[in-house]
Amino acid sequence: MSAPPLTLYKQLMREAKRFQNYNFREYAIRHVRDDFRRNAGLQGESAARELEHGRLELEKLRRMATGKHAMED
Amino acid sequence: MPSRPRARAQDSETLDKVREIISEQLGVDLDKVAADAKFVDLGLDSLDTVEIMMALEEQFTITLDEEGTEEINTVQEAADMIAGLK
Repeated sequence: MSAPPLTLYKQLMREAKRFQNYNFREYAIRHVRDDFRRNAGLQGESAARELEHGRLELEKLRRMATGKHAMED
Repeated sequence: MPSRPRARAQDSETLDKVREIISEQLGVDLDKVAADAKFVDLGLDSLDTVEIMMALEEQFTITLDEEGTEEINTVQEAADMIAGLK
């Protein structure tokens, strides 16, 4: 059983928490949490695939954070 | 319960805040989060611990280094770590 990618989790959580809109924020946080828990037991190829999915999500969130959902003005 | 010297009085505030954050993460009542409780016994896994450390960083306006947080196994240890940074 491999350990969960905690750094990616933290990075995703950071981005999720940046949403100004309460509903977006709560949805994003729950989404990250649920995905990581659901994929916890994965190994090998499927684990690698989900990891890549997570990284793409992170990039997407980072791009969004500079748009209208940004915390900073 | 032994009485504590005055210097620790501020730490009980820290401890209570830590307990509060953990109880929120777990979704349980505060009184279920004892100071000497181990994270693992409370049902917290490594993902929960990441979120708790992030909440602590936000609450106390500090930065925790990841290596240090790996050694935190109880509620009291988390509070002690923060008290040491203030």
